[in-house]
Amino acid sequence: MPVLLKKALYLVVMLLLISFISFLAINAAPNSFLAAGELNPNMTPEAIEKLKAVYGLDKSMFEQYIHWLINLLQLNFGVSFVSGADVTDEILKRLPITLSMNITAMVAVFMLSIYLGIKAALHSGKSFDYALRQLSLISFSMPSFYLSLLLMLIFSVTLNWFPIAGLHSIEPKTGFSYYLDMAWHLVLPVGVMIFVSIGSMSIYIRSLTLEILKSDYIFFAKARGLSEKIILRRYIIPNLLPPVITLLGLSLPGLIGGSVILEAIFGIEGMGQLFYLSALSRDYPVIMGILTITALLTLLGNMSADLILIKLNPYAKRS
Amino acid sequence: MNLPRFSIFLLVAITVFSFFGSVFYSQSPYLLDKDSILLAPSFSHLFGTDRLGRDILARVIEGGKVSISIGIGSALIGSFIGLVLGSTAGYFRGKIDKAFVVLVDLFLTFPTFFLLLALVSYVNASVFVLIFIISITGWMTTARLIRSESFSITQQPFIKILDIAKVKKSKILLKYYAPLLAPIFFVSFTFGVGGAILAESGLSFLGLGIVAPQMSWGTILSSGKEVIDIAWWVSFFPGLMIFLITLSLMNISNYLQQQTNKKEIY
Repeated sequence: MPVLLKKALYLVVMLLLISFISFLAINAAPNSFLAAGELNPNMTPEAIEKLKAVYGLDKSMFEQYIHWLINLLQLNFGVSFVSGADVTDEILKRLPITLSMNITAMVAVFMLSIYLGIKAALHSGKSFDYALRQLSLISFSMPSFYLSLLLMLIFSVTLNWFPIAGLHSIEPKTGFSYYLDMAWHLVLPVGVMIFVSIGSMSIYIRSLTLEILKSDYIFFAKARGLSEKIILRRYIIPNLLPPVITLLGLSLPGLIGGSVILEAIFGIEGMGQLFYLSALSRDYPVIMGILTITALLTLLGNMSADLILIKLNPYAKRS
Repeated sequence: MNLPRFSIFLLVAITVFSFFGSVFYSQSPYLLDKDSILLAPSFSHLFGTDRLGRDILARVIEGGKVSISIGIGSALIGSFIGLVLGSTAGYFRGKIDKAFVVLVDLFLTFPTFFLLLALVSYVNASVFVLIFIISITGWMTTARLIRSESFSITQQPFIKILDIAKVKKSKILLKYYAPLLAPIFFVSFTFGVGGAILAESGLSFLGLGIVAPQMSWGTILSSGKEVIDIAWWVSFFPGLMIFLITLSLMNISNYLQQQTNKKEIY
């Protein structure tokens, strides 16, 4: 399949570029690997040379880059400046919670906005449409941290319905109630995630549906006297899916980026919080590790969106 | 209700309030007062006071200057980069366009907020640094819009005729090309100001943006998060400002876009 090959090649080019940029970035970092050692008066020049040899810093830039690339391919980002722990372990430990939050939010946004967007398009100009457009503007302009604080104030402080922060209650739980407890802790953060991204998605789907409704095949389907339900299932949704799936693939980085703020506010020990803490303490290996892994996830997301598209539309293979 | 007019009114009101508010409101945003710690909103302190007894209204006025300046500054630079790159790619096509697509894709593979945080960790944030960082992470949407718009403009016969007539490339670009891109540019500019204000306040909220003694709406809001359970007003008012100004900007952008009848930005 030539299209797939082309996409795979593009992926490889992107990964090479990313690895090159991250190499430059980590070399430009203000506090170098040896900064502390060079300041130490007891360090002899020989000892510094030895350390450099240990870290491979005595080699040429090109050799260092190749070394970095090989490490990246093995997902080896070195050790954290702060904790001394292996960066990949740290990230992988925290990735599942972030990913599951983001995927839950993404699925919910997808379902809800398809429903809302199509409904608004079918009743375009009516009050439901107007309300959805206003809601989407609010959703787009609402800072996630502000909404989180307001919701915390209302639901956690005043009404006491949901916990303020964290992932687990103090008393340990096991089995099914362990996950139930976790879900209860995640209602507010995931709710905020859904709210801040639903506006753009549903408005996008609304305008796509409006375009589809203008087409000849819908006109003809109506002329044949097909019911609204059948038109919806047979003509609107299949035509709607390809662009929406592309957009979903593209929106993955935005969602993950948003989890930095939410995890910091709600005290969730995920990748976003780790990123925030590393940015505060300038822990460059961790920063670069997370950047590279999210870039990889995004590329994989886009790639799978493309694959689904090809599956849905055999014509896409030819272009 | 006339929404665009109301939004413009709101935008102008908040801007005037931030830049000239201190003329009418004489309280100092820096004055510490141990007798008025965490006072609820009242006539002497309309927005209440914070943990150090400082007047929130005065701080919101002062912080607004920084937030709005960063918003406008970053959006100006960001949309300018987008305009230059997008129109070059759209006009010259071919290899230049391919390189452009790779560059935009590369920037879009990283979550914008991650890029912001990573860049901020390299330097100490100040107003100018933040403007710079936010603009170089926020030009992609404008660039893509301008590019696709440029594509449709170059399709039009009069540009081809100008090419055939051997009119200078620079003259075509500036005299016949740029004016057609103006509407889409203004749409994405207003949109960009809102986005930049959100980005700055997000960074400042995390403590990685503006540092004391300077303040922005984000830092004031951030200072209220520890006392949210006993003093809602510290976070509420600066957050409301961020929300209202972004809402009015998005609304105006949306309205402009309906006028030019182009595809939705977001």
